[in-house]
Amino acid sequence: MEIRILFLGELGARFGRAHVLEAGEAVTVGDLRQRIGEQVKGSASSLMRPDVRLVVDQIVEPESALVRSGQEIAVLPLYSGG
Amino acid sequence: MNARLSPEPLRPEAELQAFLDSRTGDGAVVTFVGLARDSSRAGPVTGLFLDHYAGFTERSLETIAADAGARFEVSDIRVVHRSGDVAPGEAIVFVAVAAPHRRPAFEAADYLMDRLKTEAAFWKREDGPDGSRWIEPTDQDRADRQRWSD
Repeated sequence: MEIRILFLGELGARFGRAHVLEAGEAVTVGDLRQRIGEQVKGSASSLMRPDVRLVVDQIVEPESALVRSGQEIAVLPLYSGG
Repeated sequence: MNARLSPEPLRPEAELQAFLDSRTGDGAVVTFVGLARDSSRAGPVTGLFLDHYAGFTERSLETIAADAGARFEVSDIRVVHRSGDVAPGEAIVFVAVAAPHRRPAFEAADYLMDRLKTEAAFWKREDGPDGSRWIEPTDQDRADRQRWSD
């Protein structure tokens, strides 16, 4: 299945804003954290940072949440604030 | 309550006028305008870029405004926040609070800014003659936010 990946802020500047990831069925947010790190060159250590959050279709989900084909995963570094 | 993003330059005077129009039941309106500075602790600043996540960032602004409305005795709130490229001297944020009496209006505006400075979903890049850097809330910003912890 295909999952859209969006990197925000500094991560977008470093790794490119938008990606499409091929993943098997029944992947969780936690699985994707590792999978994105493996497939987007240089991003692995950033993905493992505890202050980097993954949101699914704009909703913060637990790492155990399942991700479906066509959903958007946004990778959010720590907010700068306004 | 109204909270929105503005990709275009903000006009605080127009926002204030619109907020004041037809307001007859309130005795106080407090406003705050945040401006982009031409320097920071890192040196001269030639511009800011505020990255945002469309939809998600707007909801973070709406949540903060709604929380302020629930916490203080105020009748109306307006938050307008810039996104994209912001030049020194331009307004980054406009906040207005209306209330029957002044104290809750002052407090709500203070609360709104402390939350916005740490919890609004923006990623801010500071550009200068020596390059660019992505910035995080300062220790002072975090301490200011802590003042409102329940």
